[in-house]
Amino acid sequence: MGKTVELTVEQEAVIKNYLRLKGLDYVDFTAEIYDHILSDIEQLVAAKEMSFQDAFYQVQKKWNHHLAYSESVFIGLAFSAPKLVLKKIRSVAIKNYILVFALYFGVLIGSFRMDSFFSPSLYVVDSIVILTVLGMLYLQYQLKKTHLKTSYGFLMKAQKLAILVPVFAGIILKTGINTIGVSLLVLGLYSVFFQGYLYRKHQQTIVKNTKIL
Amino acid sequence: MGTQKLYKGSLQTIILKLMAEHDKMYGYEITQKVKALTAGELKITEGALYPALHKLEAAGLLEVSVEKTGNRFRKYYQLTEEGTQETVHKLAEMKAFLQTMQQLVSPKLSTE
Repeated sequence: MGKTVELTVEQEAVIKNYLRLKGLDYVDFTAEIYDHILSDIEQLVAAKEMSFQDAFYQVQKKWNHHLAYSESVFIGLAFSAPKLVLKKIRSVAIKNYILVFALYFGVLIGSFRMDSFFSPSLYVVDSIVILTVLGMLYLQYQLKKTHLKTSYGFLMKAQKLAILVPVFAGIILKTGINTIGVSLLVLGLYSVFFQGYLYRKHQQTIVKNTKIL
Repeated sequence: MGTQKLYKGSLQTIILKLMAEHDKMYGYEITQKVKALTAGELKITEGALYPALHKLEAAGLLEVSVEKTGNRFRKYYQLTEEGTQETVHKLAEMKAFLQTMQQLVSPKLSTE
């Protein structure tokens, strides 16, 4: 990689501050991007004999676009994060939507056919609604408790409105068992599992990056 | 700019191929290696590189190790056993794709 120079502690602090101002405090990215930017600046200073300021300016020009805050329709327009983070989890969010639609319409179509024997009592419905709501509240509380941000945690946070799905299902099913209500109830259950999956990935990401935090 | 779009779909294959030729690599090193190998023709953008690396890691094709470099930690990626097998598969796919493209773009060359 050629000759490189080491930056001073003050210069490193400038870069850390840049990342902080850009809101890149996601543990799966911060240390890695910090190392990348430092390597890039060190290389420019050594190979092209640039000053730190000039090299940092060049590197910022390159990174500003990737670190700009943005939103994704697949994640939720009310939730913004650096583009880099969105890019990583967009495919997870898209797969989730495909599954949600497949599950919703699958149950909707299936429950017409299973009408005679797929008729849970209202007691069972209420129990499922309460359990799914409590499950989601517990997972969101656990996420908030970690105080560390990851891409998966961000997607999980964006899923918090899913708590309304089992609530709506419960309201619809109060008038009697119907296919739309049952479909929403199944979606509510799925949402708990999806949020559980995201929380597990969030924790794994933190554990993996503990050493470099 | 146009050719960059053509390379876009091959990013994972490019990363896996590089990993197969090196014991372990870190993000910045990958961008520089690709730039050097293609004489600057192909520039992997950082915005695409890291999500791709993380996806390959999540798929179990790459594993991560951390080493201290100066005052900072550096994340190195290397192929897993599954990743090595996937690289062979992806490269075979890429060769077949290139042959097909060759037949379409310049049929004379491909029959020679």
